[in-house]
Amino acid sequence: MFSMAKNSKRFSVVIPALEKYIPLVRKYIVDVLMAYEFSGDFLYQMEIMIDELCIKIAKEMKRRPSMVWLDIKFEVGKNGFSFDILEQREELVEFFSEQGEVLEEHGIDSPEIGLIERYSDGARLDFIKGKISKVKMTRVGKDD
Amino acid sequence: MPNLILSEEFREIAFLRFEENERFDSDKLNDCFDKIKKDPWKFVIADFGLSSEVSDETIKEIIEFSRVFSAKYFGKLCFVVRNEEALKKINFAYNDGFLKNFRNTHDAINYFYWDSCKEREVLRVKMPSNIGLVPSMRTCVNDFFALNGIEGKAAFQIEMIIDELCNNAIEHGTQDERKTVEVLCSINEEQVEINVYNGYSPRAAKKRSGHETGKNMEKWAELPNRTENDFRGRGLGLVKTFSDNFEINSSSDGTWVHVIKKR
Amino acid sequence: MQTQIEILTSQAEGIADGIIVKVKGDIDSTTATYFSDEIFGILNNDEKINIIVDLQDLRYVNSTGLGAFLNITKSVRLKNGVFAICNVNDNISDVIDIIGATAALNIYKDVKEALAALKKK
Repeated sequence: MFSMAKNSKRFSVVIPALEKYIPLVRKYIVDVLMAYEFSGDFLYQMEIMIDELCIKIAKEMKRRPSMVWLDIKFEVGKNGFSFDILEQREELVEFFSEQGEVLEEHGIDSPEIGLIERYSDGARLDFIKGKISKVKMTRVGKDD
Repeated sequence: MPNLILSEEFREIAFLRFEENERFDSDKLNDCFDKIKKDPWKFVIADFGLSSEVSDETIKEIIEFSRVFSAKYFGKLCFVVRNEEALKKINFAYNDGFLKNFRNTHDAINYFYWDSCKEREVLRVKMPSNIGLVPSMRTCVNDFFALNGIEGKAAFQIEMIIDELCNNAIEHGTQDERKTVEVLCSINEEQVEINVYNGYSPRAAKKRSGHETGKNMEKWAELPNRTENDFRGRGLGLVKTFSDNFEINSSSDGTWVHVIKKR
Repeated sequence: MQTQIEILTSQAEGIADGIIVKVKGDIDSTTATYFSDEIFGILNNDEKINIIVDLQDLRYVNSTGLGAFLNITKSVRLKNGVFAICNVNDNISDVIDIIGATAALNIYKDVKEALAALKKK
């Protein structure tokens, strides 16, 4: 798994996993990437991917009994961009660590996974009972 | 003796601080518990800090209290324990995951806010200490409050609060991108709450008074006389004017500004 | 990093050494220097000493931006010119008043009023 260089810049956004907040999150990440002068195509691709992933997680979270969070960590470095979404809620995180299923490099028939496969250079997705609960992806380079 | 610190900064949080190698004192501990029950504290942080010697009796009493506190008073208790031996002892005493442990009070306080999410919406954003990143942070926070019904003049004033505080955190703190600035916002029916941190350490904290200006920021929190021609340093004055409650706390590591704005 | 501000200039009709500057976006800590540099460029290089800044499309300004306005006003006055701002929205107007800068700045309702005032001087 590609790892960001030591001097990469780290960001974090924690917000309730509600669909209404997804555009805000997406826009913030893209604004940051724009500030670091990533190319237009790169921004567009990242925006679609983040949007689709966050929306999917937010929709899944609707079915959980209590409020959960989108905990998004991303890093911007000379070598590219790394992105990590993890549920914040303690009991779900614990549940995930005990029973989470890891699916790497498996093609799964869904648009979000297709986008990740297409636009990232490395990705790890974790699932709980078939639902995405953790995403970590990396894209190398600033241009398309 | 444990010290019960009833915080003015956080109305709903009581800090139960234990000195290093404290001896078990049931009377003193129960006095603290009685005070907590009397006042509307929703969250208790039992802070053992770096203590390695934590008595079994103390742990047992605290756990027992926490169950009553939760069942009868709808409150929650958590631990702040940094010492591994003490942590093992606490984990051994209870292993049902009922009580949380954190490495520092800042994380415990954050957890409290997350847990009261049913009453308020919360956003936390952390970014490197770089002025060029403030506009995107400002927009993000702006959008968050807009989605929660803040508009017009209030929206403009809150945007300015965030902007000025972040700028100050970076300009008067450090412009080293390895450092971070953190903004924690919450909103409920009554008020908007904004916290901006730049490396602030509660342990090393000194409550600001008129004499302890640290980075000399207090001077700028007062707007200058209208006849003055000093063009700089009006940002904090604006923040204070737009806030209903404004506090600056500093430590050797950084500053924490806490603002409340009523709706 | 990219700026979030656009500056357009046009001739101020009937005003000697006059220019109208239209600002769009935000003047904050990241764009205030760019804004100042542009205005000082107009002042020093183009030698335009009567500058009207139209803030109709200015969404947001912070204390750094207002500090730039005050600084420019002072510098232009030293050259016997006028730095005027107009079309200031209510929010920005409030902030100018709070920091006590209303008297120090030349504020007009709109470009027409600013032009009329400068023609009289």
